[in-house]
Amino acid sequence: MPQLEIVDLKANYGSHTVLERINLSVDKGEIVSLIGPSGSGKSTLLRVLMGLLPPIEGQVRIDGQALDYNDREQLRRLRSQMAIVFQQYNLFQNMSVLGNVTIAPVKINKRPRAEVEAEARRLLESVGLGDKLEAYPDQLSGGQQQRVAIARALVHDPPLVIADEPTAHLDYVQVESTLRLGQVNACKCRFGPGEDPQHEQVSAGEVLRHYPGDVFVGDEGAVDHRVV
Amino acid sequence: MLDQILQELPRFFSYYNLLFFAKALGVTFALSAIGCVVGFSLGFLLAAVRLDTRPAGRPLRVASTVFIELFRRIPFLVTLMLVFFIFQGLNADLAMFTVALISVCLIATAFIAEIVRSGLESVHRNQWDAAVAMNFSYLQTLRLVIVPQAWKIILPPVFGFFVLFIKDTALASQIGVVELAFAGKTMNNKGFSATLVYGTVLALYFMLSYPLARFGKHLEKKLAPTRNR
Repeated sequence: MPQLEIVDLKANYGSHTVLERINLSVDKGEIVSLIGPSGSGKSTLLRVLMGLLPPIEGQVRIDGQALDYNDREQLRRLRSQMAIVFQQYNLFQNMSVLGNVTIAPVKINKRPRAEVEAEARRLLESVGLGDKLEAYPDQLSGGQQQRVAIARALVHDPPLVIADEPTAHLDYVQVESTLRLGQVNACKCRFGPGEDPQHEQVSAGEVLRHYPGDVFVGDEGAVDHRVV
Repeated sequence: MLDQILQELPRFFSYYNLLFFAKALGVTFALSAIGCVVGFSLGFLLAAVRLDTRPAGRPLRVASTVFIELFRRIPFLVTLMLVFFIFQGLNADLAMFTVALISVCLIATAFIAEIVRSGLESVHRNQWDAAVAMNFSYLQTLRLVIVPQAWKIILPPVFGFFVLFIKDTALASQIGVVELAFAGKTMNNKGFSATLVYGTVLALYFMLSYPLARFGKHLEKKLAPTRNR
């Protein structure tokens, strides 16, 4: 049974259809990259998966169970099993780097602060930010903020990680080391058709291709399975 | 004129006159301080209710919107008269101070709610998204993420409003509340020079509002969300 399954998904912003007939399944341990031109709906799909935008039609199934977007408890459970790295990082501007990474495990999941801080320090060290623990987001470069966002997603040790262009602002060495953290089960990378797929080979286990255009149209035939 | 003022000074600053002004200052201070505290607390609450998009919160959202839009559009003097006559109609034997206090609280709540709402909405939408994605509740999102970032937007207009508001409490004199403006009118009617009387009233209003403005600046710096700005 796939860990994540998307069936005939349709999503709108107002009356504008952004996603239509999206079908995708992700198995446990699999890494999936979504590829497409800017504005084609990749980020929107990730917002739907995080429950930030309810779909108009279709289903999202987690471990075989269809997600009800009106059921707040189910959404809460979904989000406890998922973590997201936003394209714009979305770091909390009023918190230090360490605060950003530890806030949810401590305040929401009620884990012991000392344990969470130790884990956060380890993760931040591994993404090269061990000396920036007390810095605030606006004191960091784009790439540094991105690595904080990745550490923030991984500190939960979630079964599923959704990452929106997680390596967009990282240099080559950082891309390699970040992706090799090995916990990114599903990630959306920035590589498009015709671009150098160098990093894709590191990260992508399955690639969803779709046709360019205003509407992100996907179907079974558009899914290209690739073995890393 | 200066000669006249100098002549009046000893009589004007007699013990009983000073006591009279001190009491009036106390009333103005009480009206302003309670109005600010109640207005800020309830205003925050109404703003939070108004921003809550959950379907279950709709009745409260509508009620708070109606309250805010109504009382922001009614002049303070009209609100004062309205409260005065409503309680009179209900045969409620309220002191004039209480009537004035209820009025200032209504007005302060409505205005501050709107200032707070705009401040909270100024925080980028992606901060809400991140909090929701991390399972923060609505109140946790407000308390831990949004409000700390909104302070620097909220505080300047709130303290600006407080200063205006202290001056507006002078309208309470219209229903006989003995506050600073009323005290000034009384002393003027006693024959003291208007320049001396209202100069004193001016100084006392300044004494109330200037420290408040300074306190606002201090808070603004202290609650700035990051160290880089």
